[in-house]
Amino acid sequence: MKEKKKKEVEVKSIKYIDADMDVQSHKVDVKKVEFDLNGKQKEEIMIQISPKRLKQLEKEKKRKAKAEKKLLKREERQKAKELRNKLEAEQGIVMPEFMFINVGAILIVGIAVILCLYLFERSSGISEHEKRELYEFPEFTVESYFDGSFTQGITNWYTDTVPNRDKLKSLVNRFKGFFGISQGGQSIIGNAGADIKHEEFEGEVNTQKVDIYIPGTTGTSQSGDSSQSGSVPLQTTPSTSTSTGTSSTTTSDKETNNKPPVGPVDTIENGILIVNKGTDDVRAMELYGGGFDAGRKYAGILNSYKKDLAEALDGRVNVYSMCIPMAVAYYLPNEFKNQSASIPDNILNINSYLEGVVSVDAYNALKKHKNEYIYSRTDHHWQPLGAYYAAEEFAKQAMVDFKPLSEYEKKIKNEFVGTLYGHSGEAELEKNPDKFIYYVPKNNYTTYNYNSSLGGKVQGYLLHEYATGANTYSMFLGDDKIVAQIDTDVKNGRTLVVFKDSFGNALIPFLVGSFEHIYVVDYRYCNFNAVDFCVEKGATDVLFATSMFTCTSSGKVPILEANRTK
Amino acid sequence: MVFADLFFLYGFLPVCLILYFFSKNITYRNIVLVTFSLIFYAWGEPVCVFLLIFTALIDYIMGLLIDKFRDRTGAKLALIASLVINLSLLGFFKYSGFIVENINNLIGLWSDFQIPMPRVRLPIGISFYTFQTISYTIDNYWGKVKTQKDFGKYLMYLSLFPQLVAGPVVRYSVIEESIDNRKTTLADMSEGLSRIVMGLAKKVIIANNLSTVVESLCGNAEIGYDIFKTQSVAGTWLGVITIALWYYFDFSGYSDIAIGLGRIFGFKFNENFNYPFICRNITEFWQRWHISVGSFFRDYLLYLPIFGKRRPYASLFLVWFSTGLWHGASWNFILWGLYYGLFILIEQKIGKKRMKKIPAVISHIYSKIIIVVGFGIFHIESIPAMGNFFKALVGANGGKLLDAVTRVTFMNNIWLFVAAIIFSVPIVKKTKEIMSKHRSTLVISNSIGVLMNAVLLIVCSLLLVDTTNNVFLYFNF
Repeated sequence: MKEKKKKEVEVKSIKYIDADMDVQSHKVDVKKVEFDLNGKQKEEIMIQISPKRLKQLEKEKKRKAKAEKKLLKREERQKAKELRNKLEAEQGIVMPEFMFINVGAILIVGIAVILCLYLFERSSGISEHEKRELYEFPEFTVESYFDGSFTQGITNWYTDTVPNRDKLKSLVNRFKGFFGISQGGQSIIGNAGADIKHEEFEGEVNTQKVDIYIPGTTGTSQSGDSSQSGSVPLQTTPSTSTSTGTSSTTTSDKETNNKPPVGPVDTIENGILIVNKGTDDVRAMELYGGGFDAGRKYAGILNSYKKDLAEALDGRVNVYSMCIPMAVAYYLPNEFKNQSASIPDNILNINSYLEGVVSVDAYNALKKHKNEYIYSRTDHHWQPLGAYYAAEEFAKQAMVDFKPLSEYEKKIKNEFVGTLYGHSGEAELEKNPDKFIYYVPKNNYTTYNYNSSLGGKVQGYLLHEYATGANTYSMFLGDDKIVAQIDTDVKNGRTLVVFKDSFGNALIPFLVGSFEHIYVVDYRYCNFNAVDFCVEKGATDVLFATSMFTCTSSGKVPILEANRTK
Repeated sequence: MVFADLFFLYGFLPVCLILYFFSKNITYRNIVLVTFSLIFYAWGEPVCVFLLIFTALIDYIMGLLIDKFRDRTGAKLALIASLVINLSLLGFFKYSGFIVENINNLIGLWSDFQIPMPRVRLPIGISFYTFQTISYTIDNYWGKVKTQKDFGKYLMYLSLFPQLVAGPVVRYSVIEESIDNRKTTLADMSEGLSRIVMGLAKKVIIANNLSTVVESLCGNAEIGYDIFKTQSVAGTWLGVITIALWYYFDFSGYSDIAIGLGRIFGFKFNENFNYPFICRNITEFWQRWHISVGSFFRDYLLYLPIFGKRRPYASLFLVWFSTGLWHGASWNFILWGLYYGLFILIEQKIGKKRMKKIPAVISHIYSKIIIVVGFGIFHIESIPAMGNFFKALVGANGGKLLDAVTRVTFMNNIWLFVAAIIFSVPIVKKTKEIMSKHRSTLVISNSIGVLMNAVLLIVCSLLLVDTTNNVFLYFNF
C-alpha cells in the first residue's frame, strides 16, 4: 500500500518535468525525480499511470500552456505597443539638427524669462487694478513652516510680485480676447446666475407715513410715502433748492503728504456682465443675487435703531433707510433678466418691514435720469451725479434745503478704470475708461477724521482730489476705515449721522449744504456702539445709506446689528 | 509645489537641472533627484513628507524580507504586511472621514449617538505613491523585478518629483533599469522639453480657461451647483462637455509635463493618455484614459486568485468599485466607477465582434454621451445636485432650450472650444506623420514645431502671471 502511493508521487513528478511545468512549486518532488531519472524506471512507471489520471494531467498541462501563451502574447503585444508608441512619439521631430534647435529655442526662452524675473525690480504694495495688497515674502517661523503657509507664501509672493505685473496682466487680458467673438458685444465673467434668488415681492406696499422731527419747530411735519416702489411713481414736488450758507471761499482740500487712499474693499462676488462691447459705451455691471430674508432682517435692525434712538433722544430723531441700487437695476438687457434678482422688488420687500423709519426712494429718483451719466461703466459704484439725485431725494424727505448742481464746482478726472476691469479682465473696459465727474461744494466746512475707535482726531479732507486711476472713487473722505466729522456753515440745528458702505461716500459732498454737522461712519469699521455715538453727537437725523448688495447680504446685515448692541 | 507655476518653472527646476547635469556620476545625480524630490513634496506637505519616507522604508524592508524568504511563507507574510500597512495608511488618510460619515448616517437611523469626525487631511499624492509602492512589492513577490537593496534608490523611485503627486502611476518595473543606468540624449532633451511645453500649454492656455466656462455654466460646489435648478438644456450640455474637456486637458497636461520631466532625467515613463475621446466604446475609452491607473487595477486586482475567470461579475464589480473609490472618498465617485463598469459589462455581453459591426457614427455618439454624462457624475459631488443636473440635461427642471448666458459664453469662448476639440483628437499628430514622409515637408513641420514651442512657452509664462495658484485637479485624488 505504502509502496504504491510512493510510486504515484514519483509518476507525477516525472510528468511535470516532461510537461516542463512550474518547477518551483513542486521542488520536493523534483529532487526525487532527478534521482529516479537515471534508469529505465521512467518508462516502467509511466505505464503505471491510470488513464483517468493521465487525462487529468494532460488537461492541466494544456490549460497551463494556454495560460502561459496568453501571458506571453500579452507581453509581446505590450512590447510591440510600447515600441510603436516610442516610434510615434519621436516622429514629430526626427531630424537631429532640429532637436538641437528645439532645445536651444526652449532654453533661450526659459533663460530670457528667468533674466526678466530676476533682473527687474519686483512689484510690491497695492495692485491698483485688483484693489488688494500683493503678497509679501512670508516670515519664517516654525509654525508657519509646519502648517505649510511659509512655502505657500513664497510661491504666492513669487507669482504675485512679478516685475511689471499690472502691465503684463493687461497684456494677458488682451490675449484672452482672442478666445472668442463678442457677439452682440456681450460677455459674462464669473458664476453668472449661480447664486441668484429669484424672489418677487408679493406683499403689501408699505404706505405708512412717518413724522419728521425738525428742530426749532414745535411739532413735526409729515413726510411723503415712506415707501416708493418700482411701480409707484415718485412724488412730483420739486425739491426746495434755496441756498442758505454764505457760499464764499471753499475750504479746499489741498494735496498733502497723505497716503494715497486705498480703494473700497467691497468684494465682487457675483458674475459680471459686460454689454456694448466694441463701442465706446462698453459697460460692465455686477449681477445681483438678492435675498428677501436678509432684507427682512435689515429692516428689522433699522427698526431697532429707530426704537433705541427714539428712547434715548426723546423721539427727536429721524431714521432713514436709503437702499442704493446698482447699475444692474437700470442697464440689464432683457434677455439677461433671469441672471439677476430684481432690485425694486428687494427694496419693496425691505420697505414693507420698516416701522417708523423713513425710506428714501433712491431707485425711482435715479430711474428718471438713467440716460445720464449716473453710473460708471468700469466700476461697480455710481457716479457722483447718481449720488446727487439720491441726495436730492433724501433732502426732500428730510425737509432740509438742498443746493442745485450749479452751486458746485464741476471737475473731471479722465482715465478712470474701475474695479470691474480688475475683476473681469475685460480688455475693452481698459481701452474705454470712465470719466469721473465730481462736484466740489462751495460753502464753508471743516472736516475732521477719527480712527475707527473714535481716537486720533485730526483735520481731514472731504475730497481727496489727488486720487487717480482705479482709486478715483475713493476720493470721498479717503479711507473707509476713518470716521469723519464735517462742520458746515449751515445753521439749521440739524445733525446727520450717516452709516454707509462705499456707495454712501459719494452722497456726503451733496449734503454739506443741508446739515450743520455731518458724521460719517462706515458700518464695517465701527468699533463702538452706534446708538451711543448718535446720542452723544446729538443726532437729529440718522441715515443708513448702503448699496443693495449690503442690504440683502446675509453676511453683512448682522454687522449692523452688532454695531447697535456692542 | 505645482508644475504650472512660475516658481517651479523658473526657480526650482533650473536649479535642479543645473545641479543634476553638473553631477557627472550617477550616484550624485540620484542624490540630487532625491533631495529635490523631497523638497518638492515638502513644499506642499511639510509634515506628510515623513509619511512618504516611512512608506518607502516599510516597503524597502518588506522587499528585503520577500527576497530573503523567497518562495517560503515568510515572503507571503511580508507581502501581506506591506499591503496591509499601505492600504491602511491610504484608508486612514483618505477614507476615514467618509467611513465615519456613513457609519454616523447609519447610526442616526435609530440613535442620537454620533462618532466624532476624524480631523484628517488628505496628504497630496498619497493615492498615487501608494499604488507605486504596491506595484514594487507585488512585482517583487512575483519575481518580475529584482529586489532593491539600496534604500536611497528606492526612496528616489517613490519620491521622484516628476510623477510624485498626480501620476502617472509609474511602476517600479518601468524604471528599474534606469535607476542605475540612464543617460539623457539630445533626443531625450528635445522630446522632454517639447512635452513639458505641450503639457503647460494644455493646462495654462486651455484647461484654466475652460474652468472659468465651467464655473459660469455649472456653478461650483460652494453654492451647491444650484444653477442646475434653472439651467437651460443647451447650457447644461455645453457645461458638462466643457467639464469633460477640462478634466482631459488638465490631467493629460500634467501627465505630459511629468513624462517630459522624466525624459529629461533619462526616465521613460509609459503614456498615460492616448486621445481618449476618439474611442468608439467605453472599453476602449478606458484603454486610452488614465492608462496607468486602469492597467494597475487590471493587473493587480482583476487577476487576484480569488476572482479570476470563475467569478467574472464579482471581479468586474470589484475593479470598478475600487476605481471609483480610488478617485475620491465620496459616493459620486463610487457611482461613477460603477457607471462605467455597467457599460463595460453591457459591451462584454454584446461581444467584441458585434460591437465592431455598429456603424462608427452611432458608436461615437453613444460613447461620447456616456463619457460626457460620466464626467458630470464625476464633477458634481453632491447627490441632490446631481439629481438637478440630470433633470437639467433633459429640460425637466423647466429650463429653456437655450438661454442668453449660454449663447454669450459659447460665443465668447468659441475659439477656445475649437482649439480644445482639435487638440483632443490626433489631428496634429497625423499631420506630423504625413509631413514626415518627405524631407521638405519634414523641415517645414519641424520648423513650425520649434516656433510653436517657443511661442507657447512665452504665452504660458505670461498667463501664469495671472494665476496666483491654480492647482491641478488631480491633486485632490
